[in-house]
Amino acid sequence: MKVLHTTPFKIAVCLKEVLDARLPLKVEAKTGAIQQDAPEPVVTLNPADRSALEFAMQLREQSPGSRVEVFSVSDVAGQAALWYGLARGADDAERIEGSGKGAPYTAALLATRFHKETFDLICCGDETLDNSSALVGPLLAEILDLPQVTGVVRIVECSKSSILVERGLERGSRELVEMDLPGLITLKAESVPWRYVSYQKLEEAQLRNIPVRRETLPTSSNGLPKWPEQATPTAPRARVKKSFTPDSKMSPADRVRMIMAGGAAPQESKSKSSVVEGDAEYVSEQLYRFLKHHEFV
Amino acid sequence: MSEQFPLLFSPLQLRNKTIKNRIASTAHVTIFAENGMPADRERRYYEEKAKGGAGLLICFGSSSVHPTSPALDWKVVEMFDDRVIPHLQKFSDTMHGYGAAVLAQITHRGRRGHSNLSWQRLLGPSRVKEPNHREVPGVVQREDIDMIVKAFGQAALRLKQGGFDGVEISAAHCHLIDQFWGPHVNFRDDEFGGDLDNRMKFGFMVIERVRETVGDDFIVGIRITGDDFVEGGLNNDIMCEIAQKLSEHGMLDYFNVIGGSGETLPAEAACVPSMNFPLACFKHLSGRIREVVKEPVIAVGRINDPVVAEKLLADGQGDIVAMTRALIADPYLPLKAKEGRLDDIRQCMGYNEGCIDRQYRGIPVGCVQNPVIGKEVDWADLPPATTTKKVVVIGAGPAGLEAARILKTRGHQVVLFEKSDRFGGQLNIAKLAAKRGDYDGVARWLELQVKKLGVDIRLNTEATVDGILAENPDTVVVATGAVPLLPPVPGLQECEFAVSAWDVLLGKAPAGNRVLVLDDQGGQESVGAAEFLLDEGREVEIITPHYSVGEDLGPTNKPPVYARLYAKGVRMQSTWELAAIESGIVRLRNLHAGVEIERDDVDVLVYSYGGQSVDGLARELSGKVKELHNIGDSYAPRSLHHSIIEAHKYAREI
Ligand SMILES: Cc1cc2nc3c(=O)[nH]c(=O)nc-3n(C[C@H](O)[C@H](O)[C@H](O)COP(=O)(O)OP(=O)(O)OC[C@H]3O[C@@H](n4cnc5c(N)ncnc54)[C@H](O)[C@@H]3O)c2cc1C
Ligand SMILES: Cc1cc2nc3c(=O)[nH]c(=O)nc-3n(C[C@H](O)[C@H](O)[C@H](O)COP(=O)(O)O)c2cc1C
Repeated sequence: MKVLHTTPFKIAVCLKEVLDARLPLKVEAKTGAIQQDAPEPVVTLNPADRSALEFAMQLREQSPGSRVEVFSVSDVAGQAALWYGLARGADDAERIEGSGKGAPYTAALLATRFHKETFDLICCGDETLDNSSALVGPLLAEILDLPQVTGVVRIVECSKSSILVERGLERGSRELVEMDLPGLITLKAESVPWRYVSYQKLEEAQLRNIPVRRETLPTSSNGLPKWPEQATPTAPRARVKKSFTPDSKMSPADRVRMIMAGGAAPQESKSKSSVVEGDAEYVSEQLYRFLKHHEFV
Repeated sequence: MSEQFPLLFSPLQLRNKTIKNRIASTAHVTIFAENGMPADRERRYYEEKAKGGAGLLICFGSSSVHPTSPALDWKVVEMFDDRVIPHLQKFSDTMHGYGAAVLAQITHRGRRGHSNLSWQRLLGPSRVKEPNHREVPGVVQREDIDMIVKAFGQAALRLKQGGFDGVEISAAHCHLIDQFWGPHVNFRDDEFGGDLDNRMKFGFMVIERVRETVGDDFIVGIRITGDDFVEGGLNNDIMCEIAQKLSEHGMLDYFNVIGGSGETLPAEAACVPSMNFPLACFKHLSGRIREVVKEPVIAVGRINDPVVAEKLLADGQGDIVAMTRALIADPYLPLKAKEGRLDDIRQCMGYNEGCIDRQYRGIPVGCVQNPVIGKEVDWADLPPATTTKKVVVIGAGPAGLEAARILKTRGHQVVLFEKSDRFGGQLNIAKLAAKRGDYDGVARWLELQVKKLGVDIRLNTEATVDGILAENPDTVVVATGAVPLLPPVPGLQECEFAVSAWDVLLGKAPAGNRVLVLDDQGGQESVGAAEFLLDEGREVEIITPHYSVGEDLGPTNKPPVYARLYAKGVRMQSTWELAAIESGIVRLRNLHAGVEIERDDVDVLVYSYGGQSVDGLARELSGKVKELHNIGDSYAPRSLHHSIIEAHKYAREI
C-alpha cells in the first residue's frame, strides 16, 4: 500500500465477536442457527474485521497523527472485540447497545454514531463467520449516504481525498476501483495479513473502561428499524431549470425593475399608456393596429 | 409523506442533522430580545413555528458577535456574552421538542448602522460610508480583524454550548464580511484588499475559525446575496465566483441566497421583497448559485405558497425554501399544507408593514394579518368564553371579520351585518391600486373562516339601531369603518374638479389631463391614486406638506413605488399644503416659509387626507345595549394592523 499524502486520517473500524469456527459447529434443524458443539461458546474476533482493523492500523502507521476508533454493536460479552482492537493499538473504543437483532439494526445503530461525527474512512469486515449476510457495511454506507467499495482484497493507494483498491470478483478476477473519501470499504478476511497482539497489551486493554452508548431505534410497521434520523431518503438533487436572469451588465435599477415586472423588459421612462383621440373610425383603426402590433389579434 | 408536496416534505441531511422537511424560517430581527437576551417572548414566538412543523429554524436575525457591531437600534441578541448560553439552552430545548432543527444567525454589521446608541465606533474595511446610514466608519486594523474573527468563533461556540444544531454566518445585506468582498466598499491596499482573493480573506478567516471552534458535528451555513443591485457592487456574476470559491473551500454546509443588499434604499427594499415583486422573485439567483456549489441552497424571496415552493424545488432552484414571512403570517403553514388544508393557510400578502417595516424603525415585529404574532405569551391560546352571549357585529371589514371569527371560535352566537354586497371594507378599494392586488388576502382568508365557522352573515343589510335591537343582543361590536376625510379647506367642498384618492381608485376621477395630487395622508392612498392616473396617460404631480411624498410608507414599500412613479413620469414636491381653491385656481402654501403660490394649471385635484370615522351607530347605540364596543376605523381611522389587533383584543375579552 502506498500512502500519497501523509495527512492524518480519521478512521473508524467496526468489529464483531463471532463463534470460533475452528471448533466443531452444528446447525440447529428448527431455526437454522449455527451452534458450537462445545459446553461453553468460544468466541473470536471475526476474521474479516480483523483485516479491517489491521489495514486501519497500517494506514495510521504511515500517516502520523491519524486516529483509529473501533466500534461494536453488542452486549457486554461483545466487548472482547474492542479489547482486541485496543490491544492492537486503536486510540479509542466504543460499544453501542440497542434493541433489535440482525444486520439492519446493527447498521442503523452504527449510523446513529456516525451521524454525529464524520470519519474519513469507515472500515468493516466484508462478512461475518456466523451469518455471512455481508449486509452491515453496505447498509451503513447507504444510511450515511457515503460511497462504498465492498469485498476489497488489496489496498493499492490511499490519499486524503480518495482510495484506490482492488475488489475480488468471481473466479479470482479483480477489479481496480477508485473511491472518493469520506467513504466506506468492506475488506475480505484474506486482504491484509494479521500481526500478532501481545498478551500483555491484551491484558492492559482489558483494564480499560469501554464507554457504552445506548440508542433506541424507532421501529416501523414492517418490523425493521427506521433508519436513524432519516425517515425517508433524501430526494435526488434536482437539475437547475434555467429561468430569466437579467444581465449583470444592466444597471441595478433596470435589473430590479425587470425582476419586479416578472422578467419583462424595463419600462421606458415615458408613460407606457397613450390616449388616442379622434373620430370613431380613426380610434378603432389605431386600436386595431395596437392590438395587431402586440400580437393580441 | 405528503402526496401533493413530495419534495417539500422530504428530509434533507445537513452535516450530522436530518432536516425533516424543506421549509425554513430564515433569520429575522424581531426586537423581542430583552437586554440582548432571547427571553420568553422570543421563545414563544418561535415555538409556534416549531409546533407548526417548519423543519429548519434559523433564529435571531443579525445577532452580534461583538459589541462593536451596531445592534441597539434593532435590539438584537448579544451573542458576545456568555450570559446568553442558558437562554439559548432553554430556547433550543423548546424547539427540539417539536423536531425542528435550530440554528441562529451571527454577524458583525461593520459600517451598517450608527454609533450614537452604544458610542462604540463603527468599523469598516475602508473609510466609505454606507449610503443608507451615512456614517463614516473607522478602518478595521489588523488587530481588529483578529478580535472580530475570534468573536465569531466564540459566538458560534456559545450556540453549540446552548444546544443549537448550527450557526449561520451572515455575509449578506452588506454586513462586515460582504463589505470586505465589495469592490465599491473595500479600497484597502493590504492583504485584505485588492483582488477578489484578498477581499475574501477576512471572510475565510471567519469561516475557518468558526469551523475550528465548533468542530465537525455542527452545521455552519452562510447567507449571501445573489445580486446586490448596487452600482459597482456584487452583481450575480461576481457572486457566482465568490460562491464557487466558498464551496471549494469546503467548510460550509449550505448557502442561503437572498437578493439585494442593505446599502441603498432600492436594494434594501429588495431584500425583503414586498407585494410589488412577483412570487419567488429571486429563484433565478439561488438557481445560478446552486449551479456552482455542491452544498444545499436555500432559495429566498416571497415564497408564500407551498405550491410555489414545491415547483421551485422541482425546478432545482433551491434545496430548501425560505418561507419566512409566510411563517410569520401563519406559523402552521407546514402542517396545513401537509394535511392538504391549503385554504386554511393565512397567506402572507407581502405587505411588510407589520414586520420588516416596523423592524427597520426599531419597533417589535408583528403581522398585519395575524394579531397573535409577537404576543404569543398572552394570545397563542384562545380560551372559550365562560358564558355564551349573543353578539351582533356591524361591518364586514377586517375589524368586523376578525371580531366575528374570534367570537364564534370562542363559542358565542354571532350575527354579522354588512351593508355592501362584499367582505373586506376599504380593502376592496385599496387593492385596486397598482401591484396591490394581494392586499385583500387578509379579508379573503377571514371571509372563508367566518363562513366555515357558521357565523350568521347578513350581506346587503345596513344595520340600524332598530334592526340591531330587534336581534336582542347581549353585546354589540361596531366596526363600521371610515369614509374619506374632506377637511375644511376653503373651496374644497365645492370644487367640481376635486376628487378623493379613494374615488380615483374606484374609477370616478373627472376628465382632464393635468392632475395635482395632494398627499396629506402619507401612506398608500395618494401614491396609488397618482399611479392609477399615470397609467391612464395623464400628467401627474404630487405635493405633500411632509418631507417626502408617501412619508409613512415603510422602507421596503417606498422604493418600488417611487421606482414606478418616476418611470411613469411623475413630478413630486414636498413641504407644500393646500391653502384654498378659488374660482378654479389652486392656492398652495409652503409649510415652512408660509409663502403661497397660485396654480391655474390644474384640471383634476386629487385629495388624500385619510379616513373619517363612520361612528353614528356607535354613538346612537350608547346606553341602549348592555355591552358596546367600537373598534377599528370607526373608532379612529388608522390602519389595517390597528383594526385587526383591536378586533382581536376585544373579541377575546367578551
Ligand atoms: C385606498 C386605501 C388604501 C389604504 N391603504 C392602507 C395601507 O396601506 N395600510 C393600512 O394599514 N391601511 C390602509 N388603508 C386603511 C385600511 O384599509 C383600513 O384601516 C381598514 O380597512 C379598516 O378596517 P375596518 O374594518 O375598521 O373598516 P372598513 O374597512 O372601513 O370596513 C367597514 C365595513 O363596515 C361596513 N358598514 C359601515 N356601516 C355599516 C352599517 N351601518 N351596517 C352594515 N355595515 C356597515 C362597510 O360597508 C365596510 O364593509 C387603506 C384604505 C384605503 C381606502
Ligand atoms: C422583520 C424581518 C427582519 C429581518 N431581519 C433579517 C436579519 O436580521 N438578517 C437576515 O439575514 N435577514 C433578515 N430578514 C430577511 C429574511 O430572513 C428573509 O430573507 C426575507 O424575509 C425574505 O424571505 P420571505 O419572502 O420568505 O419572507 C428579515 C426579515 C423580516 C421580515
